[in-house]
Amino acid sequence: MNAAVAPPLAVEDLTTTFVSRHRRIEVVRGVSFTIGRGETMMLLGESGSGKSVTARSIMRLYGSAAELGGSVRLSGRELTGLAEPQLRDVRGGQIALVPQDPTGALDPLRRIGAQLAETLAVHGVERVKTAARRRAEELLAMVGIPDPKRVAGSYPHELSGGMRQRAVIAIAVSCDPQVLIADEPTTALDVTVQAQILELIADLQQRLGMAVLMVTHDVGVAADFGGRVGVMYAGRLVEEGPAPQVLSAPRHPYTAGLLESLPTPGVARGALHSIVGAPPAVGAFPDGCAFAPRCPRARPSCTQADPPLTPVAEGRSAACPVVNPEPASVVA
Amino acid sequence: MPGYLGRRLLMTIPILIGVSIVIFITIKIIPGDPVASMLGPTGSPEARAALHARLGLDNPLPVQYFTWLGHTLTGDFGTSITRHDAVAPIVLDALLNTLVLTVAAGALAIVLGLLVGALTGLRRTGIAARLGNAFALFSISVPQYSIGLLLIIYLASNAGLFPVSGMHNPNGDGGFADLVDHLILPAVTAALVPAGIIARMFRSSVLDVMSMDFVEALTARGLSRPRVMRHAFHNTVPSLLTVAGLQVGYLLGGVVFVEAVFAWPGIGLLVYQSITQRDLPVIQAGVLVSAFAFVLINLVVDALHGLVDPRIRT
Amino acid sequence: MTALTEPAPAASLPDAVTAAAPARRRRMTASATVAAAVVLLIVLTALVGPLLAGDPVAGDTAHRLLPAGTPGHLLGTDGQGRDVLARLVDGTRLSLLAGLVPVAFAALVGTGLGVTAGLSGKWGQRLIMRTLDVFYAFPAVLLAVAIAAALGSGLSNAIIALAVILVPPVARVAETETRRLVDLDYMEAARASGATRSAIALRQVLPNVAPPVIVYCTALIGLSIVYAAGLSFLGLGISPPTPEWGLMVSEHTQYIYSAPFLAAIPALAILVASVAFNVLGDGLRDLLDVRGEARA
Repeated sequence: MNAAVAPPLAVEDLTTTFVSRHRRIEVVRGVSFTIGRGETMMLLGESGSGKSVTARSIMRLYGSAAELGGSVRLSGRELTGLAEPQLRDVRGGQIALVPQDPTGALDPLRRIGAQLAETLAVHGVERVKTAARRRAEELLAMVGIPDPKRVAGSYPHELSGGMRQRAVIAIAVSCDPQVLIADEPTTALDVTVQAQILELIADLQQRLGMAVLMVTHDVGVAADFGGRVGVMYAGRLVEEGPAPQVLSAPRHPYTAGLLESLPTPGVARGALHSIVGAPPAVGAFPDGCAFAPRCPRARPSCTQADPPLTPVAEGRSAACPVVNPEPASVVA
Repeated sequence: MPGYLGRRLLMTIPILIGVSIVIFITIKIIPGDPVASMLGPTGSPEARAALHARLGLDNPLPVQYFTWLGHTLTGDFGTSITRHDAVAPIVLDALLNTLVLTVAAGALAIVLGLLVGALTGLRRTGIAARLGNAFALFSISVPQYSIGLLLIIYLASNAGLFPVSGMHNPNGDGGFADLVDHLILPAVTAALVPAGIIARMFRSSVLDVMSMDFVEALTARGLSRPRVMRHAFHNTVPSLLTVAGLQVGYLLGGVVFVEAVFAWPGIGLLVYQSITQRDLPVIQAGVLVSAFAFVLINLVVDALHGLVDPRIRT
Repeated sequence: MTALTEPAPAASLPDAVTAAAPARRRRMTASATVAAAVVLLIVLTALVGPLLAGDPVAGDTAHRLLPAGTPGHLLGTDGQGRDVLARLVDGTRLSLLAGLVPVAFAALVGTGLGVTAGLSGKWGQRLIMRTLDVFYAFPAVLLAVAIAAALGSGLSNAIIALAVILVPPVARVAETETRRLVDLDYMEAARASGATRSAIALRQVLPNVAPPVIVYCTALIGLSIVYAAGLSFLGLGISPPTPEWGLMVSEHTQYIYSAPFLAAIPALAILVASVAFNVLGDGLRDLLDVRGEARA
């Protein structure tokens, strides 16, 4: 186990099961991927596919509400079984989160600068108040806030949505994390600032060498941001590979349906294709391939066994034996 | 903040004017001719007319209102029918005693309410949560006069733990310990209803805040559980202040029962005694000063609210 | 703000789970069902009780202050030798009436004012709501006492006094709800299709404002019963010898040392009625899924 060569984030067979007094709901069912230094992984899927839960499970944010299985390694260090004090150092230190809604991610009663300084102090980066304040302003400037002094002294409600998200990102990168998890970071924002925020994340990723895990339901965001993409359906990865290839030549019927449901400018199309039916409810996943009931190419065998994610091309894998009849050997 | 406070101050002026109008109306709705009752059955029609004119009862209502308001603002609250004395000093003395009781009961209600609310908001199952919920439910439903009586019977009279009534021991030195001794039972009685309401409000406030995104976001920043909780509780303060402000009204109203039962010499007891004697000037003055006190206390609460919550002071 | 039992926590689960989980069937909690039964029992007692129990006014001073359990006097007798059970049962009618009527009045007038305010323009809305705000500046009970005292003691005056202090909070609930509806799109649609303001008020707003107002008023009944009995206790309600719970508390207070149990009986009746209506209100709120507002 050499930290120098171990990837910043390696997730193996992650499962998340929510437990309440009355029932257990399996939401993430065996997800595996790795992200290298400075690389990006997109988790693409509809709501309820388990993509956000995957992201939060990696940070172990559910506490006793969920049972986690599998392994999550951060630069070779196993997070499973880590005690809460160690997890606290990891969270916000080595692995940081940018949630969907910047309004909810900030304490409405505290100034931006104070919230930044608190994170710095908690992780022992800057304990001295004046130094922390200076560092906070530097960070705000780094995320492209034009007037960092004023913003540091502002309350969240005094800032625009875009500025708030920049502040949240500043907090996230404040302790120089190896991994940045961005959960739909632009969904709650105006269309005009969405591109700026994505650009900012890409820029910071390059400058700080972070591995980025981006969760999105937006195929456009996935195409823009690049890197690798993992398509999630019913708590599983159904296809994984380099974004340009996956999004131009999908190897899983679900990915294909997802792409066809998009109106593509410049591409003449007789009718707007889309997937029939609705995704299965969480906790009520069907036997076999979860997509089979909606799949145009489903065969009787599809409802028998859940196909595993298998290599289908160089650096690509998919979980559909129908589309990819002879795994790995055909397309090499 | 100064702008917010200024606006808030300005808003109280129409409220206070409204309060005075309502009190004036309660004077005017008294059925029958006040002069007839003052003069008694022997009063001649001429004497009545003369008194009418002297009291300004022939003037149009607005003129009567402003005359009355002028008197009130200069501290002339009229004369007590039974005590044949100026109402103002009687009522102001009583108000002071009522405020002592209200402050004690308010503090008790907040402490009890916060404890029970936090308990039931954070742990939602188990014996303690059930007991807490039951306490909140019963305390808001309880008739204060009965609880007061029960406390007198069992804790004061039978067990002899506390004095039965009054504010000071007539033979004692009237010291602080004596006051506290007399204060406990009435304060507990007056605190029950507000404590129940604060508990229920605080519970839902805790549930709200704990389900807010920022609790997760703060955990993701690596903050410890106690630190996250500190942020969360800080965020319950605004709604807590709002509820606490309203509870002052319950307290100042509830004293009429509590003071009647415990013979606590405040506005409530004064009003209660005046009811049977139909000493309306005292009742009206008592309600007026209570309402003014309530409005002023809420002004303070709102100022605190502005201090805590940057969102409302812009 | 559910009082007793509550389903499994939803807050700690992520949205994906709670959204996708089958919707919880909304039904009355067990405690609300019990409360409804108690309320029904109280109403029945008020209606037919006096026919079954003995004479509440006839007393025999030779048999005064008999303890509970005495044959023929299940709950004993009061200071004038009157049967406590008979008085308690007979008093149910007036106590319930004094609690219900003010709330019913406040529900009608408050809804009318609130809906009108919510549908009026800025100035109409301000005029109505700011005027009602004045009533919030009073400690409610004291205002009721002042009004009832000015009008003179008597049940109807106590009811009027209580109605006055209950109107503003009901109006607030109705106004908030109306304004929420006005902001919704289908109201736009109704206006765009040329419906008049009163037509909108009747057809679109009232049916939607009614559920939260009803829930709120149910919870107010408990408070109103306590207050009504309180006014009687202070000597502002019904005049003796007619039985009423608050008056009974006041009468029994004289014998608090010789017969402490006596004062507790009517107090307990008030408490049970009040709790029952409060729990029923909570149950209705959960059932109809309406948001509650701070009690005035």
